[in-house]
Amino acid sequence: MRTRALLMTTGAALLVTACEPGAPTAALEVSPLSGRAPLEVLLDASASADAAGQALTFRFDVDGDGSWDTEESTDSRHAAVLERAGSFFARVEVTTADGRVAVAVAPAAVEVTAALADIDADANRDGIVDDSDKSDEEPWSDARGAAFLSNWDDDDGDGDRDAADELVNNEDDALDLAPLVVRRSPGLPQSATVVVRVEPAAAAERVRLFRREGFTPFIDVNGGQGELSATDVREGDVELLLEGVGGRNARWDGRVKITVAMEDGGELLGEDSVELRVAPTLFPDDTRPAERVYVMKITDAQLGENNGFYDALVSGMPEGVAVYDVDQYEYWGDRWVQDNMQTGYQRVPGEGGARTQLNYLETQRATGWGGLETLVTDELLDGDFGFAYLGGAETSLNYGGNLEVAPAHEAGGVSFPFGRLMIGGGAGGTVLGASYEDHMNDEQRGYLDAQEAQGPVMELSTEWLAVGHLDEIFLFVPDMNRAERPWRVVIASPALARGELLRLEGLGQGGAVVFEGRELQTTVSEILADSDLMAFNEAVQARIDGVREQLMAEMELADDDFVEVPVLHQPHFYGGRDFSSAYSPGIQNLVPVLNKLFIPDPEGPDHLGKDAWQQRTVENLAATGLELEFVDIFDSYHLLMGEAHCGTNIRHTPYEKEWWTP
Amino acid sequence: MTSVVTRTFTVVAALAVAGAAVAEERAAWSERSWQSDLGAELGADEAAHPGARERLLRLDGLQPEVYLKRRRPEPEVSTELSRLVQRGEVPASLVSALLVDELGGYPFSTAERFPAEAKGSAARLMRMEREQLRAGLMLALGESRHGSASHVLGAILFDGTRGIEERRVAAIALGKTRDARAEAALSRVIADEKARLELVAASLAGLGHIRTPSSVAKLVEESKRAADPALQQAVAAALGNAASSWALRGEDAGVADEMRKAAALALVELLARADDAAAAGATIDALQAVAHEAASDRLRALADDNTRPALVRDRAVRAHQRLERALERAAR
Repeated sequence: MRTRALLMTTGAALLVTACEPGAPTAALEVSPLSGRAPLEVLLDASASADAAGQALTFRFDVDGDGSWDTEESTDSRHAAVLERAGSFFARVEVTTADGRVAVAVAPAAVEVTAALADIDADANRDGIVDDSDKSDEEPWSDARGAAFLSNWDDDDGDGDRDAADELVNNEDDALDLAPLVVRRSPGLPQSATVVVRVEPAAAAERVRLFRREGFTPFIDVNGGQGELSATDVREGDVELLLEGVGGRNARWDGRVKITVAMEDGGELLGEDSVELRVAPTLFPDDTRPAERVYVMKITDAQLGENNGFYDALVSGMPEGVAVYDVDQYEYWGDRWVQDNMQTGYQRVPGEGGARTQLNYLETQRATGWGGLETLVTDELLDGDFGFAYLGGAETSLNYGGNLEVAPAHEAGGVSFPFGRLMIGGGAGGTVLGASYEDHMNDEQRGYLDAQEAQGPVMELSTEWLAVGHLDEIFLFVPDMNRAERPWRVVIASPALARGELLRLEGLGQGGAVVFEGRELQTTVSEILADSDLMAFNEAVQARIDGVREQLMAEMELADDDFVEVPVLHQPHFYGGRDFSSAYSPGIQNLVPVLNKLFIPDPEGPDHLGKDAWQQRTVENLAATGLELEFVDIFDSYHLLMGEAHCGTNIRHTPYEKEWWTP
Repeated sequence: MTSVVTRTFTVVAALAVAGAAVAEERAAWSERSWQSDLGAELGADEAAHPGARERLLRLDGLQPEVYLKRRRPEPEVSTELSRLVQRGEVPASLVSALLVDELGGYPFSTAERFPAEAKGSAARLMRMEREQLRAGLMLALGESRHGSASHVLGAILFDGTRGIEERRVAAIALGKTRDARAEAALSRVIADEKARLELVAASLAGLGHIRTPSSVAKLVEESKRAADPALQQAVAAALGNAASSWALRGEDAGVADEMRKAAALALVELLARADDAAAAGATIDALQAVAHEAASDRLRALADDNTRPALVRDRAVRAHQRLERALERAAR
């Protein structure tokens, strides 16, 4: 917003003067009457006339300083540029062929404001900084305002995020910075100072400015302001580059105001500001097309091999989806790839199309023994891949498995075009009634909320779980047969698991083996006879129904939007309290890849040659039209308190819709 | 380390020898005899299960190489121990003796067992191994319903020098024994006005595992008394556990129905006065678990009662919906 009147005043002054009897009549019209230097003005003396009808010649004194600025000529109009600030009374002298003379002085001064303080950014989000960006440069709004990336990738390959150094490393790096242009102000007095300010303080801590020319550092983090020379600004546009060192978070909404102020002798000559905002990081949901599946291939028995699962995943992977092997030795067999990161991206308008930077959330697990902590930060980091890390490994509720994304939907009259972020946590205590509370830490939740595009974050009760993650309860999967809401919620159901066992017992098959050949091998009747286990599962079902109830209310879902799958739970004790984990493989903890689901094999009781829990799962998921493949995760994941989803992570295609388009 | 365990078990066996002279004259597992009874049984069990002690000394859930791989990378043995005892791979007498001896000489991990990178967390995990073993042993012993269980667990429960976490698990494990002595012990804690709130809550949870008409009656009574939100939450969950429709399936249908009905009605009353969200949530969950239709009309009436605060009425609506869902499932 300009704080002084910068808009050009249009208008004209006309003076008609006859100096003496017989002299011609001199008339002078000047327009405009005000504006910022350099101001182009037109002096028009064409209304001058000679009663005797002789031809006239004209000369002009544009700035009224007493000296003629033009030679005599027959041109009655003269265009000139007023370079300096001030009030100027233009004059014209009209002469007839026989030497009679008249002079006219403009009755009103042309007021020229000294400095053009003008800074532009890509306010209209077309990827280019030009004159079309000049209006509504601030405040930043959903409809207008420039955006920039957090420069968290590594274009120079030094193993550090680019924002970590105080340099623009190369042209690729420069592309991650937002262009700003301080417009030329030729009329700026040489003695003037040109100050560029970064505000507010929270933003100054998180951005850095460079001059494009030579990528010269200009204003460093926390610098607050810098000076350009009057000469630079008089001679031409000065291009700047804004680097996002931070991202939106709990303490900064991502907005930064850049102001150019021109001063001379303590007088503010002009000031202009533009507001930019760091782009939100978007986390695609599981119904988006998969591009890459991360999984650890573990062949070493000492580390707890997962050959069966890995091989099934690779051989059954839909065409076009890459499998990314996470090294077993580099990361000590830490197989919980889901927990270590949330895949996402940042995107801003760019010349010729949007510019995308993958931007994962590093959700560090507190293994303390060299697990996946460095996968994102060291291995995946590259020229188009960056990451945010909020710290906070003190609770497993911070991990990636506890962060899910609902697909796009509308609820309560509110549209969620990029879906909605969901996390687990709560104060509801344990299943057996001990008071207990746990949440994702404030820093990480604040970061998620600050992205706004997929918020507000919804918290659902998971504090009663041993690991504490949403994917221990439900996941979203595509539904190929529904147009309006092409997805469903696959949700664990102890009631369904028990129902199948009761059905078999009713058929006289209480002796049917469950988890055959496994260390946990048991029978239908043994499970049903374990009253503590049954009571615990009935309470777990109630907890899950509470989560389902909240999903239904907040997302306006119906029963038809859920697909129940049979899963039984069991208690574990930590710190004297009970916490729940899956007793049978958590079927809902599956891997959705395009039109296929890799589903944990529940290894349930056999009925007529088929696994009853598998069969029920297949029947319930049939309506989705998805291809289903059961995979062996029993020893390699399930007994280690996780399942298939926990052991994988997926990079999805970004949303087609841009966050800045209505 | 094994030698220390041997010593321990030898000590217990010695108790048996000392008491053997009068063993014939007294009831087994009495207050007076349980230690010698345990010693005698231990000797016989050790002979019958020569590999059991070795198995007990190498629980997977206490091996860093195993538990560090878990999604929750911490020691935990409760399910493993329960399974071993239930299958008879480890006799309950051995579990009981190890508890009596305060885990003496158990081969817990040493710092060398942890990867170099894990040195920072090794001390915490090693400390946790001890706590987790004790918890696992208590729960397995309770579930085994072994003759020594209520004595051993009761002693831990009432030992004020022990940590609250340990005593909490003892209360729950006691409930799992389902014997009259346990019910009496837990009731004593609940009645003790000086007892720590957490311990009372755990004792309510323990009572919930007993699942007898008298334990349900006791819980119903406590549900009326409970004023603290933590106790309301605990008693609600305990009622849900005690009168769980799934758990009581194998019991006498008439008795089970009475237990569930009593629990359901008490839970509706509790819901009407529970101010705390967690307590109300636990009550709604418990109503669903008990799944008795007697609660249905009461909940509907509560929901329609205009003299009640909107929050209570809303909770009654939710509870009613959840109950209906549970009844519908049961009908299927």
